[in-house]
Amino acid sequence: MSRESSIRFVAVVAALCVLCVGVSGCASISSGGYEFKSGITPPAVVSNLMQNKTVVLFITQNNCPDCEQTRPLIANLQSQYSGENVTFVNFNVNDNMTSQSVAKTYGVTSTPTTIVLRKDGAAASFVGVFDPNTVKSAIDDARTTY
Amino acid sequence: MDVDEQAKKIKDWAKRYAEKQGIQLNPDEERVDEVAKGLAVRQEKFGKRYCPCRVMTGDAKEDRKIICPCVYHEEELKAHGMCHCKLFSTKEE
Repeated sequence: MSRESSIRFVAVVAALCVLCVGVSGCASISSGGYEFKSGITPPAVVSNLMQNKTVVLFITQNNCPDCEQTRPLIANLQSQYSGENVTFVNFNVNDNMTSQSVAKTYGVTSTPTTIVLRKDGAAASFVGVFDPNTVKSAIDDARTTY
Repeated sequence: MDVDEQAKKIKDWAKRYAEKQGIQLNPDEERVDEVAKGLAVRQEKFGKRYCPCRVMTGDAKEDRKIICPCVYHEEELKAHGMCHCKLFSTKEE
């Protein structure tokens, strides 16, 4: 191998390493199309809920039609995971500063946003009326991965 | 002006806007009424038609982007045939 080829080879390997480390360090993309993003420090109100549990945050606002449409889907999931160490919490950003702070921490700009949190704090977000099967897969992933 | 009256005015405005833009109001009238009411409530409270499905930041410059019709609606109509709050939709062929 010539000197030029060796340098090119090393550069390609280094680039691939950086790419792999970057991807695995930030997010893991599932076959379901959602991804768990890490690196977000949960606010105290959320970390208190986690305590070795999977947590599902449901971020809503008043007078948001899709929030009302999504509420029964959340209730249905909640009943499916009853007694399964999964906590569902609704934060209405119109209610108080705590809810606003939670929304801001997770970069929520539209409602409803449903966020599945793994025990390590990594978060998968679903904006709008979600497909229940996809969110269920994310919850199952969150429960089994960490 | 009460909220219902304001919502009706907003609905009339939205219809005119849609016609002008070559789009339409969501054919689901119940949905249009819900969004118009949400817009009316925010207009009453904050003085502008802030989208009821988007989170206000408190930064006036940033929040200007979500005054209906928001800066995102054209892209959303192109991508999904509807804006995020489902007030406007593209015309059915």
